[in-house]
Amino acid sequence: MPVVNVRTSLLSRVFSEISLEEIIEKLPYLGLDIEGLDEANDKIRIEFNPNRPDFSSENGIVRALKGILNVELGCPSIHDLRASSSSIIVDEQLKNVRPFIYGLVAKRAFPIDNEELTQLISMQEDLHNGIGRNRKKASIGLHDYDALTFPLLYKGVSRQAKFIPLDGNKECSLADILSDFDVGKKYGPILEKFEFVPILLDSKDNIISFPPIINGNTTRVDLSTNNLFIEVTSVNPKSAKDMLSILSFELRDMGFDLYSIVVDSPFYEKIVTPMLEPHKLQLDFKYVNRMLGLELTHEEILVCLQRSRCEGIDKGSGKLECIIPSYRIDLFDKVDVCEEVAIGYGIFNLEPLHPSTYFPGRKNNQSIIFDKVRDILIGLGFMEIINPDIISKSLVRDVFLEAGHSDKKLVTLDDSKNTDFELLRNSLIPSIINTFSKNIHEKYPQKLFEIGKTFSATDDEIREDWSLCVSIAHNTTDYTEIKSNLESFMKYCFNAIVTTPRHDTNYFLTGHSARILLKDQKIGEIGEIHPQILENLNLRTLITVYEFNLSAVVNILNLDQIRIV
Amino acid sequence: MDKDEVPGRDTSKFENNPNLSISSLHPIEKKLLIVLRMVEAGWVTESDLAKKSGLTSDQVRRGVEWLRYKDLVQITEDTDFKIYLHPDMSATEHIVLPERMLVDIVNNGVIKMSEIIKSEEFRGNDKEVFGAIRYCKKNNWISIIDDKVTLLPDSHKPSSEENFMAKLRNKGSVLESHFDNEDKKAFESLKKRHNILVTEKLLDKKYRIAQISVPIVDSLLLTGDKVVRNLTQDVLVSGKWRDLIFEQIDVEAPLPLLNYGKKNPLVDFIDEVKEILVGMGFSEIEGNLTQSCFWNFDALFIPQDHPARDMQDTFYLKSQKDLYSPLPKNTQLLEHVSKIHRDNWQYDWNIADSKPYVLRTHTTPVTLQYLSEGKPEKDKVFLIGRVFRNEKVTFKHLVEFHQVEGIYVNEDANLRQLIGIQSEFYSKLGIKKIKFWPTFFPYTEPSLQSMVYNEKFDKWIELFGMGIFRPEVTKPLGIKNPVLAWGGGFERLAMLRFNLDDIRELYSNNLTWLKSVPKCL
Repeated sequence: MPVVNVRTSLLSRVFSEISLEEIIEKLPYLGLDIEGLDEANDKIRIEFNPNRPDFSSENGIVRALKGILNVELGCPSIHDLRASSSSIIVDEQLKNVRPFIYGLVAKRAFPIDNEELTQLISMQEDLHNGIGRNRKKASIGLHDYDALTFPLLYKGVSRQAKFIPLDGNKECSLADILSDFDVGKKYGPILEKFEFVPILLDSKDNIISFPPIINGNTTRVDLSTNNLFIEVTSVNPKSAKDMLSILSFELRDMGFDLYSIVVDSPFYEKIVTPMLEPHKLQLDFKYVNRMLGLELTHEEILVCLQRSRCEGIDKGSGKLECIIPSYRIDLFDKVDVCEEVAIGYGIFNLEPLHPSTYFPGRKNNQSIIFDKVRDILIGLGFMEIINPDIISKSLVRDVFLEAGHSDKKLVTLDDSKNTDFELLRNSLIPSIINTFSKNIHEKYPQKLFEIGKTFSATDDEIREDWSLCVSIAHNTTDYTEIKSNLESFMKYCFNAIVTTPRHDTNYFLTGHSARILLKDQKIGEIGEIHPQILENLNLRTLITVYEFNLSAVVNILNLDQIRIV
Repeated sequence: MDKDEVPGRDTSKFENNPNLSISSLHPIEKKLLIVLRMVEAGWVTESDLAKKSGLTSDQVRRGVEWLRYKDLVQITEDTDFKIYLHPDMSATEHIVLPERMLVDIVNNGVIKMSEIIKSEEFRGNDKEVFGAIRYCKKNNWISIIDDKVTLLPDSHKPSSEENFMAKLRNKGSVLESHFDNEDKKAFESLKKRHNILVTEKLLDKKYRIAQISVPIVDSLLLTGDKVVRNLTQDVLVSGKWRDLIFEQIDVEAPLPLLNYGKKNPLVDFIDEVKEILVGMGFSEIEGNLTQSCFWNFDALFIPQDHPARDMQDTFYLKSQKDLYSPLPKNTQLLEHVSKIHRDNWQYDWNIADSKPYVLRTHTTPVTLQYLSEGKPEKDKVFLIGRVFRNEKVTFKHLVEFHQVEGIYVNEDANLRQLIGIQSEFYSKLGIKKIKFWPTFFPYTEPSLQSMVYNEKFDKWIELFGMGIFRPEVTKPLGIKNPVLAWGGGFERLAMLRFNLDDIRELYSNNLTWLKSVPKCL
């Protein structure tokens, strides 16, 4: 989850009447996690959920806190957005590249300070990573307004175009930036398939930005910058609108006067950005109470919404209209409004309620059968183990030798952070033998069993089966002992008789292994583990094992429905 | 080979039990007591014990420890001295002391002192001669008048020193503790003289039967044809038992633990939780571990460009050729989900991205398929099953772990009921202090996260997440009523339950650990 740093001094200044403890106590009830409090460095580190990009700055968090602490209620709005004639012209060539650009101008009588710049850049990063999907969907450029001249032209150019990139001192071609710069390598793939790449030119033909990669150096923002120009480029209009809204409220909270910009695009009519109109959702008051299990009056619901920095209007006949500030991009359905009411009401005020409708709970059939399987095996002296479904290639190779390893039906993982986890097991035998090899200092005889899933590829689909593996390790275990165990288990658990026609495989000792058939259908294998495998796993004790497909047994014996009588 | 093999002979097991039985003897103990009993309550040295019992000195030491622990035997540690002739003295056959030399010279007719000193034997060593005179006088062997030596009648008798030396030569050595008065006198005298005796300090342990234990030992040592240790089938069937006395056996000594069959502790705990949920009216469902991206993500309103879908976090599956999960046959469902994605997330939903197989990252796809099939108006189901995340394994993260998940569907289902269900569940697990915070999940709204207070660690621990399924999730499935859903990692509960700091322990299959977890905890 993304993290934002908030100054404790700012909280104390804004909420002078409220103690810091009380403020911190309230933060989780806004859906925020406190990652660390560092009062000495004037800092709280707060984790926020990615659905709330407006929380990516301290001003955004203060805005929400004001509501829940009853300091300032209702929907924040920007009434004084001033019209300007500044415009951006969009070139048709960008149609399939990154066709949308929104912008605004923010002016102030004094320059931006260090803390503000840090907050703004950190917010920009969070927006890039979150709703910008690592700049793929949308990205932001911050510019010194006074270093450029309108109108701007947003157009596609070849990679041979040159300019001085941010923090650079000489001209570079776009191609060089893409191949040599870290940002070029990281975000270049977004532009990979396009012949022409987007740039933003001012009226003096200076390239001020190469979205979504890097800005030009001429419009660099520093601690002497009073006035800002902000642009968002995007692959869809919603992302551009959302990001610019969030930035607008942030800049307003910093004390900037905002000026709109006209975007003249061949893809739609002339539009004026930013678009800060609140959006509206219609719903019934009754719906809110039903979802939350409350019986709030209309008035109470409206106050709850105000505390969540929204606004509600009682439209009569039980209808509620919710007014949502444009930076709250996470609210788009009736249920979202319900959550805002709950947060405004205070989650800690929600008393538990116990549903009264009767339901007869029960375990599923399979659990019941597996429990009985366990009972019998425990009675026969076996200890249950559980192993991972994902195992390593080397274990499969050690146990099944080449034959098992080259099994065409094996299901493998595309990518794994651990070499121990490479494929889905198609048998429980490798894991159980591995378990023995990890317990060579324990008392013998060791008798283990596992119930687990096995996986195999059939055509282009995956088949999952429950499997039972039972194994014995001690110095004199042999085929007779394991078969006696198999027959006892089948008799006591299922009153079933299996046959075991001879069958050799390379992981059993030749002549000491068989297939297990139930009603003439193959369900599994039984035998003495081949000495080569014991040697591979440094085992100095004999091992016998049987494994069968438990799902198949349940089918063959028609156990899929419980019969009590 | 086996640490449990000598029954009850691990003395550490006795240490905490002061009231131990002395009702039975190990064969080693028996042999030792027989030897000790022969001398009533007299002391026997360790070496004598070994010799007479036919046991190795190691067996003697161990056996004596057991007997001491039972208060049957006492120990004393004595210092003794072993005295033997100096190698210079024992080398020659007929070594004689200077005083005897002097007597012999006088006996041969040399009686003047000056001549005695000059004699072949003394070679002018007057100091040695004066020494010899001193001992001769002490022995009452000679008298000296003027310069002349006269032998007295006692000069024919050996001195006590000579007797002692003869004894040493004869026996090789004598222990100080065995000295008689003469020996003592001779030893005192000889030890002052150079190169005659060697004294070696000995530390010897000696044992005896404690006086008050003699009757107990006697009863323990009952022997004879009439005494047997065990009842046997032969003795039973023949009726001989009527004439026999049975030895007392040790009925209190700890014995080796047996191997046993048992359920895996985690499975056992899962069962307990299942019982709780069934008792709360939830029914169990089950489903595949391998799922399509459609069910794992798309149907849960998680956009196809969402970072959680990256290979970085999720395991995608393949075989020799590519694998494609069958998508729902209900094409309406696909279309509905696709439309919701396009409308809400503004991207081109691509069916190809819905088909790859993944290992389920949560159990929710199974719940969704259940809802999609039955379209219940009201229901209460749960499942506990494995889920998978492509993470580095650490003490708190596993690649595979279990999740428990439950849903409640009803016309009047609401958020307070969800809080109620969770509170009831936690209270049945013994968790009393809980609180709820708002949070975010892509597929529920409102969403809450629960924090539970752990007394042992004195801190709040984040446990299950919950919420009401979004209409974007339920509508395409054909579910009209609110669906309350809750769930989370099961191992976190299990770690609290089994008092583990390292989550990996649960899957280590270490038999010592598996056996050590009691069934009733």
